[in-house]
Amino acid sequence: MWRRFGDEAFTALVAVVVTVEAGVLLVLVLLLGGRATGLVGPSRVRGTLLAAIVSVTLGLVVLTVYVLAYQGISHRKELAFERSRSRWVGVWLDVLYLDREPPPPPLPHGAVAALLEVRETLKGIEGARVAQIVDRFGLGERFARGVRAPKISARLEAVEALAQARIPSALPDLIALIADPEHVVRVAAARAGVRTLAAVPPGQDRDVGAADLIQALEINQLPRGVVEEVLLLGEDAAPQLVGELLLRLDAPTASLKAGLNAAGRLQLFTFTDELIRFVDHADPEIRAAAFRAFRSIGYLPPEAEPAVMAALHDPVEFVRIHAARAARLLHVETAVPVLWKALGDPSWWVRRAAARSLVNLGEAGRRELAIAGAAHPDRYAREMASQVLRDADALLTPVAGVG
Amino acid sequence: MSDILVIEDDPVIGAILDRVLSHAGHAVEVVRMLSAGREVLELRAVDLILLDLNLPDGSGLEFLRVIRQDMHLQTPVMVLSGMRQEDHIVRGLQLGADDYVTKPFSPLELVARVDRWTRV
Amino acid sequence: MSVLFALLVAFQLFILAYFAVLNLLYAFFGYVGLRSVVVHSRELSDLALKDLLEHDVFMPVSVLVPAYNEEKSIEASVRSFVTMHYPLFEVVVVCDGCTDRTVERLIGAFSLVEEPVVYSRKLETKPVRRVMRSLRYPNLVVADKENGGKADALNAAINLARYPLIAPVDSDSILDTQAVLRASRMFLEDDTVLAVGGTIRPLNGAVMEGGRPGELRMPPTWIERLQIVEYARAFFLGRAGWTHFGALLIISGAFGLFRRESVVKVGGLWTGTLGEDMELVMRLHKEYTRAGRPHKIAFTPDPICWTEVPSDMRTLRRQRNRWHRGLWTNLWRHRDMLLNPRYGKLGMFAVPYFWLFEALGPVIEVLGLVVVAGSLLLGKLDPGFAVLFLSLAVLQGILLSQIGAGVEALLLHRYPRTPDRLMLFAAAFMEFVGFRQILTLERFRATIQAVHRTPTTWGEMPRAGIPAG
Repeated sequence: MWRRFGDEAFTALVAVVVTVEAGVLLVLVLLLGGRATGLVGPSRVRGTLLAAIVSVTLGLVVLTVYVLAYQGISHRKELAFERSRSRWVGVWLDVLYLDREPPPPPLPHGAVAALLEVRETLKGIEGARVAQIVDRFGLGERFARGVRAPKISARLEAVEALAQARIPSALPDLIALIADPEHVVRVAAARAGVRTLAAVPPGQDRDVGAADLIQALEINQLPRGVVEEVLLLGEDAAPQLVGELLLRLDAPTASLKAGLNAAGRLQLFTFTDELIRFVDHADPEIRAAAFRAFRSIGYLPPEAEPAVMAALHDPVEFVRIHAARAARLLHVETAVPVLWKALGDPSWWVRRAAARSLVNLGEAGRRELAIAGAAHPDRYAREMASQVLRDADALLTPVAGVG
Repeated sequence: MSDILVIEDDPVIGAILDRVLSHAGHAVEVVRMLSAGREVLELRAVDLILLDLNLPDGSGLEFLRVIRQDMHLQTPVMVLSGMRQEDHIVRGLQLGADDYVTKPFSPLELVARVDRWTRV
Repeated sequence: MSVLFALLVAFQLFILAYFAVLNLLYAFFGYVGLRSVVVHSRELSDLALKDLLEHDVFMPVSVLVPAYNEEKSIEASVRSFVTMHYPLFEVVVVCDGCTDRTVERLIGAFSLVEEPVVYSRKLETKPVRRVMRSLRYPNLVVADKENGGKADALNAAINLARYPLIAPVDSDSILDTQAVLRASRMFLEDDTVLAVGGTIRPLNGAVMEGGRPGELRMPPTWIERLQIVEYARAFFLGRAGWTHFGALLIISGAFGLFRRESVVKVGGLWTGTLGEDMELVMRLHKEYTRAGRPHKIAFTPDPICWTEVPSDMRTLRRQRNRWHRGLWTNLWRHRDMLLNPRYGKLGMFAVPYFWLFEALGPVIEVLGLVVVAGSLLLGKLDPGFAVLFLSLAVLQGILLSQIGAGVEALLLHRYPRTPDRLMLFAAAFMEFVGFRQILTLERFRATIQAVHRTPTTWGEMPRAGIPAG
């Protein structure tokens, strides 16, 4: 989206120009005040005015020249880089497929970029071979050094390279970087960390890594959205990570929410028994998240059924909504009567969720919904039931809400 | 020896797919935009389409619908998508895709699947 | 007589000081804005975005499209929305009592069927005549309602929307494929974020590819070119600067992302102003501050929305007139925020700035011009001095524009051709010598009209029509 070179130079240049301009203007304002009170003569003001004009003109010329030059230089530089990178992708693929020898170090910028992209894209046998090449060129050490650089942009570049390279030995460095003073770097390190973790083969190293990663996220109080994102990036390390969040007795609420959402999104079936613990949590958002997770996973353990039914009367609206959605996982005979009642809920969203759950229960649910449309005592329930039935029938392609 | 159309905007992934599939003996054409893909399909029949779902000039799923419902093409389609996009994969299959490949992918596996769809 | 003379001199000096301070502020803001953009550019990597897209980390969005007599361009516009790059969203189009064939075009293009839809009516609006759904795009909903104005149409759309985030847009906005993705990130990372605005860029002159802007080129008229310069300045320097200080008062109606719940909570958009976008933001700030709830309203430069800007003077003047009257209405409605420490930086800096430099700016400029001209005629002002000062003002304006142009050059999607860049520079020059004065006069006129409460209409912009390719 943005070019990342030449921007700091431009900012510095603008800082200088603006400071000079501001300085002269300030003097001018003061002199004008002096003029108004008769303390200052017109020639002083005129002189300052001229100085202002000259300084602004100079600044303008400098900036314009910079912008034009930047345009030309950046364009050529980018073309060259693109060409280099394309060429090197071919070279690396030759190494993989034609058994060519990798070229000797040092590797130019385009070559490294190409190698990382290839590493990013391939897994399996070829993926492992690419990882070996990455290792062979000592890129892990190079990026590990970059991660400790004083400049933010250098750290970020190194972190992103590591995110693509996924070198297991870099994991501790990345986890340590989650404590970086810059928020941007912390978030990037978290994401690179989880991608790297996913490349660590299952075993003790991965278990320890997962625990360390989660701990770093919590200690450094990364935003909940970021924690959730990290979990979603976990690939097959995700169950471990989610487990770290959910199975501790003293986990903070934010972690629990992230863990529950991730369990649902990732459809981690193995966690359904653990989720039962959260259905009567004090925090309504956690209760709702648990129901949401059950629904996403698509399975409700029998022990959780009473909680779902009870939650349909929860004082908090969004808990009822998610309970109504989860209710489609109840046994049909249990579900139908409670959903019938929920159709009469004062909240529009709860009524809607209840109706849709009935549709999703299959024939029995639809029948009940049709009856509700005609005979439910609550007028709004009748309307909602009819509406949802019509919606369900009208969907000719099963592709709702696709982007 | 089959004729494969790859619709993928990422130049690196496109190059990799080109190489992997050519190495396996297929004729490969890579285009970077849906509009270009449509042009190719209007001019000739291909044996297999590899369709990325995240393209810059529109939705891959929408294009799939266009292929199947508007252009009435029966060509096998494999959709390419990121690891965790199960929703999209399912919708793709519902819209008429025949198979899917998630990124990152294993070239051996990809070739094996492609062969399955291009076997006469 | 000497009293009059003294007053004249004092006023002259006041005008000069006013402009010096204003330019000082602009320059300062320009720098701050630039810095925040540059810093921000490092925050979101392409890899991060790819992850967002491919790993389903998002919040679903309802795109709200108010339309009034857009038969030429509505099909292309809606199509561009429906084919957006986003995992889960819906598009809600509300035709606000269209008297042309807008609705018919939509019905034909998207296979719309009428449905008696039951929906939550949290906001009061003019009656909705019918609601239709598309058979081909199940996430497209089109409502036909009685005319009530843009704000009213948006409120109706909010009633129909079902996702937690809403994105009110202009019907002719063309969203960058990743605009919503980039904007929605902030909501994920921070629960206190209520609204996020992005950058608006003029579409004019761009080569269209598949319904979206491809290569950027200079449009044919100078009016269009100067708006390119103007928008770059306003967004990359102005809004970026304000958001840095946590005092952002406007999110453009062409594209913004809001939490639906928050907007409903404060009562939706107000139909009594022409600047309903700014008024909503001000009210959100106000209500949340009064309720003592932490909140954040931000601008990020990444999400980009393209819009067609006026190419003739008459339409441009009408647009600026409307904007200025809207500004006055909003400032007046929320005049209790002015210099009110309860509203923190907004009350003490942003609102006063808008009063003094944006709303009253044209008045002071025109008065200044009159005074300067009068003084010159009466021989009470050294013409050389006047010329010098005018030159300084023009040069400062161009300097600021060039900073904006510099930021634009940092974008990957920028005007690539050097002759075009030179033309932009020339446009920056021409803006301050001629166009600006015409528009200042128009805004002065708008101020008079605002004071006399001239009735207003949404107004139509003659469109060339976006090619539906």
